[in-house]
Amino acid sequence: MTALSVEFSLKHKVSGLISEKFGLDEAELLSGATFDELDIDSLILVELSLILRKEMGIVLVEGELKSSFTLDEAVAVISAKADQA
Amino acid sequence: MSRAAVVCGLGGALPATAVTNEELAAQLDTSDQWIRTRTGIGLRYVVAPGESTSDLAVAAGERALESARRKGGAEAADVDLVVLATSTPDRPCPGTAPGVAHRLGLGTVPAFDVAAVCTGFVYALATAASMITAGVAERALVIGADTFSTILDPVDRTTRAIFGDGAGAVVLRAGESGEPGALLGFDLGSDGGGADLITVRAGGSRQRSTGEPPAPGDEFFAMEGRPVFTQAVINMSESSQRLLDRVGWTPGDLDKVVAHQANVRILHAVGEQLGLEDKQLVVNLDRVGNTVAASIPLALSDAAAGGDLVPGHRVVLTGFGGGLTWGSAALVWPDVEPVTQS
Repeated sequence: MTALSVEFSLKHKVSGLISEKFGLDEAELLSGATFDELDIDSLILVELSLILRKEMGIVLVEGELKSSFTLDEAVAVISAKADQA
Repeated sequence: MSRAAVVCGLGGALPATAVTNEELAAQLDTSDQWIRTRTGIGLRYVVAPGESTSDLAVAAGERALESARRKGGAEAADVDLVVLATSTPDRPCPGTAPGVAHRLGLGTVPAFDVAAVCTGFVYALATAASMITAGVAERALVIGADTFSTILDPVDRTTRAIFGDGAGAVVLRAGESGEPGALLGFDLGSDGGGADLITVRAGGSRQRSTGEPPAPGDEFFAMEGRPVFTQAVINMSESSQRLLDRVGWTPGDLDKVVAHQANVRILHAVGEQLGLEDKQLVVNLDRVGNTVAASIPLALSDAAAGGDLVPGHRVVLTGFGGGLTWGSAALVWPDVEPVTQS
């Protein structure tokens, strides 16, 4: 896969995880809104980090996922970590 | 079979005054909905002016001894050791346990405190169980008691929503490793690199030796919520898994996981990490909040009294707290009748 398609597939995996685990609308997540705008509280980002650690072996440091991020910005941080893993 | 410490009594005690989310919302910038969605807590109890940790510890201890008597007769309450887990002792010095033993009429039995904050009960249980298996004691009263309402910052909406006061206790007796109630193993750990995440900065030798009064707010309990959340989930999950590997059980074999009642979202995240179903998790923090060292024995009392925890259940207890500290214990639930009222 090209780098672009890896990131595309990661984006859908992450949006799928958030939607499945926290009952949020996937279309809204993909709309480009920030987590803040989607009323995703900061604990959900902590919970998401723990799920990514378990499911994908990606270890995010506290605060790396910010509520001011859009899904694309979060995926860029997760993708950079996945490359290191 | 080998000599083991066996759970044979269980009791709990809460102070009389309940504080609802609505009452907190009337004083602080918070709401019932905010507290419930972020913590799962609806109610907590607080001590009255002049009431202390030892008062709750004595009440819970009396009830655990009464519980032991109901199944084992008068001699079942003849304990020769008291271990009290607390990080809100009556006074900085001496320990609170000797006074509790004295008030319970236990004579001159050895009695001491264990300070491991929210992991305190598991540490105290491991300590007392080890003293029994080593032959130092025959019967032990293990109490977890805290009054965090006495150290909270009155204007901190987060900690005031989370913490409540309470005490819970178990009686252990010497028995055999194959019996129901026998403690089958422990996993304990700490990471002092995280000591600042859960702390009361002032009041100890570090601050008192300066000769200066504490900086404003330093006399109160402080907690870094998000990193604590992460550490609690990782350490309770990993500690439980290490213990399960040692005992020879899988998460799917467990009937109940009684985790420290810190936050319902932490409990569910631990369940997610271990692959547990919701019905395996004991939850009572909605009615009592986070009662620190009392949380696990109070959750056990509630679950056993409500029929959610029954003899023969395979159970893991797991805690996480300041220090940082964590610890887990495994047992097959015995036929005990919890006592939660005088």
